[in-house]
Amino acid sequence: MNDMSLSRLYRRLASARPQPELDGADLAAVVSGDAQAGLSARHRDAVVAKLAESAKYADLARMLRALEPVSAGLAADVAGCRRAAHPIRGRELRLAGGARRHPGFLRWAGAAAACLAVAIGVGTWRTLESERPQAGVQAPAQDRIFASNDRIFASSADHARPARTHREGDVVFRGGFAG
Amino acid sequence: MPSPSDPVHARLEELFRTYGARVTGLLRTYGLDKHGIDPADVEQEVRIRLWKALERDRSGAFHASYVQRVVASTVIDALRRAEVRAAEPLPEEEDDSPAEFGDGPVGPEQSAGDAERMQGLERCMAEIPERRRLPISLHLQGFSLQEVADLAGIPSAEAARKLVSRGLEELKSRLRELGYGDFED
Repeated sequence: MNDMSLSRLYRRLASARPQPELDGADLAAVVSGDAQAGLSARHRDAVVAKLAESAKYADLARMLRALEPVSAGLAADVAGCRRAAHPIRGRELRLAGGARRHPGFLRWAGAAAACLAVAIGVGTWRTLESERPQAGVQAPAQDRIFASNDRIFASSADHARPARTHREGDVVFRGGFAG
Repeated sequence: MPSPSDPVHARLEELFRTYGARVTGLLRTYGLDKHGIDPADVEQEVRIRLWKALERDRSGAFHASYVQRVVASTVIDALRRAEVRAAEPLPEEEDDSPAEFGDGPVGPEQSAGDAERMQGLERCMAEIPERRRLPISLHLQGFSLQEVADLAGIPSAEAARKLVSRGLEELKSRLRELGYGDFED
């Protein structure tokens, strides 16, 4: 007698098919309807099509659905367990707790280091400040270019040569009188 | 990670053990043990992976979605290994393994007719419009109408019901025409 159940025949067919590749994270996202998983519509449809074709994945998907509240319960319990554990451990392991055991030494050493750093800083600043005016004198040096230009122009100026020509002229005049 | 003597460690161990027991139970309830996997192995692997996740990221949030992903990946890995094992030749066992899968053992007469009817079913399914084919397939896989609606992106369970019932009628009618007899759901 043949089994005339369509669903049982389909599941036998789906079991006989080779198992398609499927990522666990994708399956979990599709089963939970997790929009934040970032699956594209096309990718999601492909995962659902694999569920429709594979009896194993269909069984797993239905099992994951049933497991959802249990997993949520585990996540909440683990979070509660960690919350309860962390403040206690935090106090035991906090480094500042160690520092308070030797407050005198560490505080004085820190204060001395800070004072030294400030003193070095102030000294450096004052040295730089005292050197600043000398550096300011160098500004007119740039004017020398113009000054030298002035000399070039000055050498070709009319008031330089007439003195010499004037003197030569005087010699000629003087010769003329002598003769 | 806290040491095994730490009460926090003990509490986490207890939580994972309880969770693992639920996973084992559900693997059996949903027939995944019939696909060649050992629920105890899967449960142990899930616990190991969850512990590793806790050790890896001590301050990170331990979301339910992450736990679900761990279980899904572990079961899929186990199914793949089972499939590889099933594909390897076993010289001493002459029995064909398809009877191991599906819903219970299949007799020799039935298995002879099954191959032919499965071919017919596959052909008829291919002729059904895609819009109906996916809801029918999901329904035949055992998903409820609400699950079919959620998975196939159908607006409501009622809309899924209409698509499924029309599709099934069409499928049965085609199978009847091809001489495979009258099927029930």
